[in-house]
Amino acid sequence: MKSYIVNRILSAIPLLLMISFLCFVFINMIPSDPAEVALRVRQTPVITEEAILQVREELGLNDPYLVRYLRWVGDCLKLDFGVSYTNPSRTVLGEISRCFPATFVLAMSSLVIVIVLSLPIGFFCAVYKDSLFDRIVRGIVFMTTAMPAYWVGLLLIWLISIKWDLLPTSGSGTIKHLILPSLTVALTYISTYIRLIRNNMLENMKEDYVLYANVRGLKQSTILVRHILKNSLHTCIVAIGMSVPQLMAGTIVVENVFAWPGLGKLCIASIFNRDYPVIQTYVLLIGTLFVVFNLLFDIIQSIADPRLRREVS
Amino acid sequence: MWRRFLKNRMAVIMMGFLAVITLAGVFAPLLAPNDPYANDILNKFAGFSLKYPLGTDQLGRCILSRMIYGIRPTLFLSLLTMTGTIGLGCILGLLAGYFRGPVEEIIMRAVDVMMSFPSQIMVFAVVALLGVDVRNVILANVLIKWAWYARMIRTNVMKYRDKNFVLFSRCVGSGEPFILFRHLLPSIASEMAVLATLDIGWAILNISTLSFLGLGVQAPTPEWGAMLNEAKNVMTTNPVQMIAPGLAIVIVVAAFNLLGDALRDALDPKEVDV
Amino acid sequence: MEPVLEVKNLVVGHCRKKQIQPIIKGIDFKVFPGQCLGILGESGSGKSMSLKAVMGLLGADFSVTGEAFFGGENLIGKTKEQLRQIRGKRVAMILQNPMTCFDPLYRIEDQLSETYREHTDLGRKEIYEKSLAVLIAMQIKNPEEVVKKYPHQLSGGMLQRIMIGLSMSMEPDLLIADEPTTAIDAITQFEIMKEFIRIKKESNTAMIFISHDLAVISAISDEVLVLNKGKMADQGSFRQIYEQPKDPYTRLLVEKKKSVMDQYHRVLGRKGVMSQ
Repeated sequence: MKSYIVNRILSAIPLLLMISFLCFVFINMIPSDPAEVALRVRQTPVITEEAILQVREELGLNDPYLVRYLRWVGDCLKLDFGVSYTNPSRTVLGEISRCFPATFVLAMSSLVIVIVLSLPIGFFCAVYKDSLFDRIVRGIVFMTTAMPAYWVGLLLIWLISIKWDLLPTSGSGTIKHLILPSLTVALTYISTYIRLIRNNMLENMKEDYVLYANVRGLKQSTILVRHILKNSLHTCIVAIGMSVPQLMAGTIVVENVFAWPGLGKLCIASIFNRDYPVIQTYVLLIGTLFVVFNLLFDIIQSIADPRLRREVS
Repeated sequence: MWRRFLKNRMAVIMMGFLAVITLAGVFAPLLAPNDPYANDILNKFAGFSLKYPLGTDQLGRCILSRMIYGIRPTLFLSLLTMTGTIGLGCILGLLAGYFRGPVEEIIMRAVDVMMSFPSQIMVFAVVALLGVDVRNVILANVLIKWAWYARMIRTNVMKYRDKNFVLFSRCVGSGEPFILFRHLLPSIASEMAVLATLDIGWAILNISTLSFLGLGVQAPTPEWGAMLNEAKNVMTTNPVQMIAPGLAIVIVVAAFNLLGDALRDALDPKEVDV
Repeated sequence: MEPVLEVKNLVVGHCRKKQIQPIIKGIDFKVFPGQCLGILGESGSGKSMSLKAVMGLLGADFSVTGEAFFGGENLIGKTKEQLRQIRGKRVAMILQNPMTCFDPLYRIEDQLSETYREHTDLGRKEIYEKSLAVLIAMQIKNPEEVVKKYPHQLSGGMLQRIMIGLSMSMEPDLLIADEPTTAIDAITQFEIMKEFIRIKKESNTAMIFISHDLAVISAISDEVLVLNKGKMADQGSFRQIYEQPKDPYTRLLVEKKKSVMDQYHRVLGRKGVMSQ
């Protein structure tokens, strides 16, 4: 068991290195010269050829690629991601940590909505397969997969905020501000998970252990909840857990619709301002979250599932 | 396969519907009542009328005409994306599946990395790096999607490469490229058609999202995502301007998804569920 | 003597898109206390389907008609709840794949005790003792340890024995064994068959033994029913069926078996050892 966890953690390292390398290559492929950019950041009035050469030496840009990469990784590990190009008085770390909480709150509340809605709906769709309820839900699920998230957001603003004046259109601060954006983020994932849970439960219903539970004369409700649902949850919870970073990434669009001051808004603003260090750090952050959450839920699953648990003899 | 396809009523209806949409896009100048770029500032936010069936936007442009012209970039760009994706995926998948050895090793490692990375973030990263432009959006979409096709095609090629008709044509002495294109491609074409149809919907959504954020098709061009971007600011005064393009996206994407599902049923009658 | 279960003109159909596809086309059989009815047939002949139909284990897309008298009551037409209370208590069933029949997420103990909780009023401690008694009765070593294990940690034969033990501990009127020896290896098969023969000798439970294996059926059955494509092909005592099969299909089955057995005896005869 322990060796499995250690192995799994070790196997994540090359992936993290790959992601960091891609991010490093990314900033080195930008059309502008880093030395020139650095001078601009320092607000040097006249940028001369000599000054550029001097800065190059100073920043170690003449060193071999690998040396520079290792130095950059070292800086990242010390949480030093450089300074913002557009606003040199701010560090990238400062910008990211300023925006992170808002995105985190949004992603988490969406996650709660996803779990609270998709579990029972998926469960009842599977139990009452092909009933009117199931068919209606399947229709809605189908439609939501064709709906762009930002449009849903706009519709919600128009209907709920403007027409009925129930909730604020944009911004953040109170619970009221949170409802519409998190609902919008959740919507796409709800349909995915309803489908996942429904199909997974239907798959489980065909298993022999369900037949044998019936043979033993267990109550239908016991079989559904204690056996089928528990088995389905084992797969589905892991899938939902792994989608947390996806939710974080999914907020990009919605944050821009609702003017939610999170990472997504920062990212889009940085793309327009060509603020490369911020984009680079954002990509690095989300990539790392992906790897970490995959790892985390792999390990959780291996602990929770007795078949994967090694015997402690 | 074709007979089964024609029997599937849903597939035929969706195919017909999409054909009509495509024709409407092609013959946009004939169908559109007005010039989509012509400003008529005095008539801004006009309601429904004979001259402007869906009213006008904040610059007094005819919304219906812009919708009809909007078919062009929407369909064209998504088809272009899919062509690029399938092209790149095909070439790399065929190379990997057919030649094996180090070629396969390199390609499949690249596929693994591509698939383990969050695709949404990749699009933004690529657009950020290359600059805000439609071409870059398409390039980004191709770059994140090709891996799926490469993997699917490789698996299929592995399945087919040892079948008798391929072995036979090698015995007869046909050249490798000839074998690849003459025999392998047709045998995997049907499966690819299903996947590609479903992915066109994905591409439309993705491109329109980027256009909405201002990273794709730029403002004056009538594209549904970009139209929504403009509509966002005048939502209070003119909701039609926001509802129409969104609805159009939903309908077209849903049509592609339904067609894809119907195609899959036609190809494989076993998988009927959801 | 009163039969424990008497099935008359059982018809099962599968409904698909408003069409009903007949699967079992009218079969009758009886089984008496302390006796064993063997149902023989190839896979897909409807052997286990017919008993699942009687016990209400088929999905809503199956239609079941006919009569099945169990203890004077017709099982067909009973509500799901009524059938559920009969299942596991008065009628026990043993299934084919012991490895997949237990929920992988629960310990053996949990799965045994949930069955007892459903059908008896025993307390926690009594249930635990009863579970251990089941394992001991089935000659499983270290019952305290085995009961704490998850299904995947036990062998197929062990799980099969637990299934049999659980069934018999309920003292059912009828035991249905649905191909209980098919999915396990030959040595365990032999052990399991010994177990069934012991049960037949020691208790007064009626038994229905479903198999495609003539040898297995011959070892335990008093009466044999041969099914072919949902129809009754032959019925009678084992000797009758073996020596004078009336139906051409039964004849085919028997002849195939005979030729295999002849070969077997020739080989064994040459080696000149072994009798059991």
